Amino acid sequence: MAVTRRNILGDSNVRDKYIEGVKLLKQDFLKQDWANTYDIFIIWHYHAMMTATPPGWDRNAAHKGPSFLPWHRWMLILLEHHLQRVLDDPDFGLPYWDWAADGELPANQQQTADIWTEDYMGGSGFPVTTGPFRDGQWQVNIESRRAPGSFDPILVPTNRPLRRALSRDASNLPTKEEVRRSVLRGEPNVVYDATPWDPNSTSFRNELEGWWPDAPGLHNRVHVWVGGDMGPATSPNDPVFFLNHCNVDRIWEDWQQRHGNPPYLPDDSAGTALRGHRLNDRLFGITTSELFDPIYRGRVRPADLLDVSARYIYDVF
Amino acid sequence: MASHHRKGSSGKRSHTHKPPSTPPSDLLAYSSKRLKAGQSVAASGHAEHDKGPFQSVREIEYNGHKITIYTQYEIKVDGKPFGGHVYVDNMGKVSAHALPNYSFVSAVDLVKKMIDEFPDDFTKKKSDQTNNATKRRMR
Repeated sequence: MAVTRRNILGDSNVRDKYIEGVKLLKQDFLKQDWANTYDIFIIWHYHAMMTATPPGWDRNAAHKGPSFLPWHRWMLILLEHHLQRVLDDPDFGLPYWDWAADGELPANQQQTADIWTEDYMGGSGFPVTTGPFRDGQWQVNIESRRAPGSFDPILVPTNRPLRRALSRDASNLPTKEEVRRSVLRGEPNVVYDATPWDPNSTSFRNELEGWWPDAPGLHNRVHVWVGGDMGPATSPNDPVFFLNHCNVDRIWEDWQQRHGNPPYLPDDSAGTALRGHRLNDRLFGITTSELFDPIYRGRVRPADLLDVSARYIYDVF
Repeated sequence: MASHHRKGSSGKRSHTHKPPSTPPSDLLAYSSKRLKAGQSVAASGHAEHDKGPFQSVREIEYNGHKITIYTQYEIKVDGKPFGGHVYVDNMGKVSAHALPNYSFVSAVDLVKKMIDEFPDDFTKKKSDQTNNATKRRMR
């Protein structure tokens, strides 16, 4: 039976379970020699981001290209599965943060919105000192650093509290009008993605990811606006990461339903330069072990993720 | 239009682009083991690069003409060269893997942000500062 994903600000029960669940995943080890289950998502995200597709290109296995939305949908499905497992609650649905609602507030009130209060995600700071993920309550074990002599990042072990810098690098969250524009753009001839299939594309995917028409937009703007650990390739370090992506997934689902499930592009006739992004290509996995991925065993295609109505629905668009 | 990195250029100023190293068969076990041992993990699915200049390539078709624009930066911080991937998009904005959701109006802003975000990585060694002070006194 499909679970229902709800707005975290409208349901204190799902909020509390989410907070409890991600903390349990930090203590959960599926295999003795693996990182804890929560941190696996960080490692996976980093490697996907650093896997250029094809080598040498800006587009990577999970960003700046067509696979951005299905790859993160897969990630959310697995996080939701593991949260259900550690919470012993098969009906648990991931919450989302409708950041565009906060984007309607005056800029100087956005960083004090409910989501950043003590009972929700806590506030800003190096380190975060309020809320459930404050110093002493949440530990960052893996961080992104520069490789020596390079601007490219590497993963390094660490042991420090969470960092956020709300509104330091972007003054405003995206607004409802910006979301509406992205969902309706080109109507009735909406396009999921388009050549050159990268940050220069004029497409729904690229607008929702936040590279076009004004970067940083929508998804990217949320990362930049939250700042701190939401900035680098290890951005799942902040549990807000998943609330952001669940909202991005909700917007995609809205777009799909509103327009009668437009085709995912590129299809299988696209060239090999788009390997990893075409309709029936395998998405980038971190392991084929059933322990981490009992649903797809690390083998999933965008085609498998276009209709998820059997797994979850959203309470509202 | 495509935006990518130029491969296999030759010449002194070119950027060497090696084939990507073979990814470990189980990235999760490999990464977990290294991190637990206190070691860093570098991306295995990404092409390796020598230190030095990099080149972003934009290919655009316009009115039946193919336009190719190469952009190459040589960046030094405190006299030390920095390699890695820096991309330029159609709007002329610059981005890098270390800050994957950001794009900048210039490479100057990118480097400033890198220094702000990774201050520990840019800490000057005491010996460097001493040497610089000595040089100034000798002038």
